[in-house]
Amino acid sequence: MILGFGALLIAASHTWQSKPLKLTYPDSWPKPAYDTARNPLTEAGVWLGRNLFYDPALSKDNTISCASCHLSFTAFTHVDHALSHGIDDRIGTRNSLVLINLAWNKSFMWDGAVNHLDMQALAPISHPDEMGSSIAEVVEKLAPNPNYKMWCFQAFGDSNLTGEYVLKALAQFQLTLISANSKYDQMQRGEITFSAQETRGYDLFKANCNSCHTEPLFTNGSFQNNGLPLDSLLGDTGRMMVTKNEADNRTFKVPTLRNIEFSKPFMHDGRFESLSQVLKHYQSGIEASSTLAKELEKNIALSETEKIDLISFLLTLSDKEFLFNTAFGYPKKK
Amino acid sequence: MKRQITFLISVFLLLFFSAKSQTEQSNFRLQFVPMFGDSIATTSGIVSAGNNNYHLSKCRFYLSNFQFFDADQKLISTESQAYLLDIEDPQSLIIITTKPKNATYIMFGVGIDSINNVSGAMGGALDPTKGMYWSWQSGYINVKLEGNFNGPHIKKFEYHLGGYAGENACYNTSAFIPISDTLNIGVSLSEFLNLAEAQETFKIMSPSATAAQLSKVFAALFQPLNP
Ligand code: HEC
Ligand code: HEC
Repeated sequence: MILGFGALLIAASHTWQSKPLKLTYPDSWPKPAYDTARNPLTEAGVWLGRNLFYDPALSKDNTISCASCHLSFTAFTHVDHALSHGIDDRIGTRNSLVLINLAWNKSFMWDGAVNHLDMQALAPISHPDEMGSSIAEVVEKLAPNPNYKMWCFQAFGDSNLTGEYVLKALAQFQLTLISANSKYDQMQRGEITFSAQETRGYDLFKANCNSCHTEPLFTNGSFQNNGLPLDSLLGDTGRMMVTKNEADNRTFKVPTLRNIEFSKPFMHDGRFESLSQVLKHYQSGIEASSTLAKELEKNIALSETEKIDLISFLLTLSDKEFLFNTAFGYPKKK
Repeated sequence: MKRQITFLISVFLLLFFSAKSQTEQSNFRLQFVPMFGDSIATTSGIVSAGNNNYHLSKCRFYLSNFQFFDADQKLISTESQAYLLDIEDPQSLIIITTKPKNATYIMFGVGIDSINNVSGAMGGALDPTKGMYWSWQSGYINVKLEGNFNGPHIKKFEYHLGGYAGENACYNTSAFIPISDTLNIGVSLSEFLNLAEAQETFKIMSPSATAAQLSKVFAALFQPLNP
């Protein structure tokens, strides 16, 4: 009888548990940096996070959601704006980053100011030029909402929305944004072969770019100065703003090149509009300075055909399945 | 009927076990008292301590990792919970925990240790809605102390001490504090403020070497009050 009572209790405490989710990615990839043991993914957790991601209530005047700057069909970056636009149309000082394979990121933002995916959302929510609110205000606004109460209960077994749950749910949704089915990935799996041009481009890439934009994630997560002349108006010193160390002056996090076809404009301030402008920079625009990356001290020599070859390789990193995945889109009510 | 009996049995079992565990541990009440010199610090009005006058508008800080030691200063147990103390919420200045029977000394962390600074979102006292987390750069704010020095000229002070990385790490432990059944621990804010004023530091809003240095000073303010 007592045993029966105990079993009932256990059963009751488990009914809220939603279906667990596992991050799926190619076997050849490294282990994710994100520790999912501390925030186990569930269907309900991802659903809650997806709703938060698309909810303009996260901004002070209810006009801007995360998706306003990170659109799914443009690899979760802000199209057509060099610098991201937030509330009151104030312009932030940096180009929005793509949200791809975030589970492998060791740090966040162009300067690595954020150390964990969970904590990243605090920055846009509180930034006066972005959403202009605060996590306390967001929780106060959303907690009474019956939908959020229900989703929060389904995700965490507790209907009281807290800052912790908001951040963990947003992280859960963003962890599912995995891009691993580009032409490049299909070639790696032996499902297709590259054209002669793409193969030549791939070889050029491995010779000149792979040391920083390292396969298979197309970033090594390090901070480097790739020789962009300082924009005197913005005066952005990158990583040095966090470490206050002169050796980090003008270094920025190496961005992934996955889905690069869709994430223009390029660089931390969005100064380049096209991939050929980017290649022109690596070819002849590099500015020498004490923190310039060693590999880039000599300009990268590329002929006109080599440039086209390299671009044709970069286009193999586009993953249509990722870009148009409806599971990442605006959540239509279930 | 049968159900009610089962329920009663469960309640008895529960009481029995909780009573038993209390023979090895006992409740322990810690009261923290922010002080200006010999006066108790409050946020209402101007307080004088020695020749100095202060007006305090905010005083919040984290304590964590309470550790109990025996008479030979050997560690008996560690409680990893974090507490947020706020001078405007008197209840928060009282910590009730359990102590091992043979505990003779206590030591605790002032601030949040580096592991908890890099482990993602957490709840309770560590929920970022508590306003003790930086948003633009990851990390807990261990201590917020704000107000005015009311000398011949009024001078505003604002200290947000925090930072977990490398030389700028701001987490420190208190001294070994001998314990009795209840314990009042004074936090001598005037000592901290006098020192900060003397070195002409009036504002700290991000991790730095000065923040790390003043965090050491802050951790040393915790001393048992004579009953
Ligand atoms: C106003 C535009 C804007 C809004 C709104 C916005 N972001 Fe961003 N996001 C950016 C910009 C710009 C960056 C790069 C910032 C930097 O490096 O300083 C960025 C960076 C990020 C990153 C870091 C990616 C990486 O690889 O380091 C993540 C994750 C992210 N945003 C998620 C979110 C979430 C979640 C929300 C909603 C809570 C959100 N963003 C709202 C513009 C925005
Ligand atoms: C020494 C490291 C390094 C090497 C080598 C390197 N890059 Fe980069 N790359 C970076 C960094 C760092 C950035 C971001 C710079 C910034 O915005 O300040 C970047 C940015 C880019 C971007 C813009 C991405 C975006 O989302 O805005 C592209 C495209 C790019 N690199 C392509 C290449 C190609 C192609 C090569 C080889 C010809 C190459 N890179 C070689 C470090 C490197």
